[in-house]
Amino acid sequence: MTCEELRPGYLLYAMGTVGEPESSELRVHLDRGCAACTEGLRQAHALVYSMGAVLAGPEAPRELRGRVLGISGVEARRTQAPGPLLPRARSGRLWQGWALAAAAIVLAVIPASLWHRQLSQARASQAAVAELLAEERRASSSLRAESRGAVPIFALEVERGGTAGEALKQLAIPAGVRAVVLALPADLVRQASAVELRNATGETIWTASSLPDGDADSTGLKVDGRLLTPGRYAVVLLAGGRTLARLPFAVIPR
Amino acid sequence: MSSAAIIHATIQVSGRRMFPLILAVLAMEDGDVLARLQRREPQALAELYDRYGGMVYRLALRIVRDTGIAEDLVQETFLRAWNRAAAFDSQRGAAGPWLLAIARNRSLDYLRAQSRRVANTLELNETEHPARFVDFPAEALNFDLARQVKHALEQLGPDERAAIELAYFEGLSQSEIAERMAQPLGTVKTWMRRAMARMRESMGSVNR
Repeated sequence: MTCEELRPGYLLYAMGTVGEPESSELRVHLDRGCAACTEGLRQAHALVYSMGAVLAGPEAPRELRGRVLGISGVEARRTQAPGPLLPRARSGRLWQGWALAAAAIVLAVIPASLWHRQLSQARASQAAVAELLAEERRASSSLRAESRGAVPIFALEVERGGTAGEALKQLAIPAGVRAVVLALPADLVRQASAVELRNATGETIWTASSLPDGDADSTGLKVDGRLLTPGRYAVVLLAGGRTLARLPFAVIPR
Repeated sequence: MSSAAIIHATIQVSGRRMFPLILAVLAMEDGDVLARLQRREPQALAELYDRYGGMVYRLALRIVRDTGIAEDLVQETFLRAWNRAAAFDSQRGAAGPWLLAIARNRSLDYLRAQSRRVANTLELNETEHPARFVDFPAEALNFDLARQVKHALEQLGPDERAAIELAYFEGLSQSEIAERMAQPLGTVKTWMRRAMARMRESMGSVNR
């Protein structure tokens, strides 16, 4: 197609609403290095941006800022009690380093009508978690529409950190949890052939052998929330029959 | 790179809350905050939110029309930015347009999931790829241009404007717009073409 024929499609392409075959045709054209269309499309992106930038409407609620900053732990650090959840002497050992293990767990409760409203408290700072949450929200939309009740989900960020066997944090999980997303270090998951969730007695209560791949910092795995009654647990990553890493955490009564 | 932000304020008239007034435009440096975001400095996230949080919220709210969902989507937007900042060219990328693109995509994803509509258009994620925001036209970050775009949209005929808004706020393709508006596809294409031409005209050099 010629530049003239493609020009009307710039804006729709920039909006992501061009169907096929127009989309492919424009892409092929751009790949040939057409300067005029590249510039036209660049300007179309600017137009699309402007349409969103000038919208009138209400201000964002003040508390939303805190939720957003919770992503990075800013608010959490400001408001958390200073003391560690484990005795200082133990937590001191936790950071002796070579071992993988220990868990930093972050939880989020998502009420039905206002999805992960409390995600700021969770500090779920991994893309995998976000995407799984979005997926869960989509999957649960009909449920929400029907019940308007709780559709809780937890984002549970498990990091390496201390000595095997020591839970870095203990967390209470509110009632009615249906799903827990385990956010695990992606570099470990990439090396693993299976991931197991084990209880305090070492019994395997959940296994994942088909592990997602990706270039995010963490990999999210969703487990049935009812499995996590109060107690001690460990996420165990296995590679070829050997234990690659053991990431313990504790769930305490509400 | 130099960027700009539109500063909004709310006024009270006889006790009624009015729409935000656009008061001023301040040129600000996004490059520094993006570089710090890449180093995962929490304060950078706070600065980014202070600059663009309101804009992101209004866009999400306009699309999903539910304050609670909009808040969640704002959070998702900044979470995505936080996690993907490393891929962004902090010196040449434009943070505001990138955040708005993420917010729009997340919001449209939500709408699609609600309506169980299958995306048959360009993969939306592509429209938020960091590479798209490198060397963003500086004039687009200028308030005058944004105001011209707004004015141009207001001047469109009702059908043309509806077609553009269905594409932008609902992510519909031209075929879907034709179906929604119960009009032949050719008619919708004509409206869109005319609308875009008028918007381009109002924007001076844009898209010429």
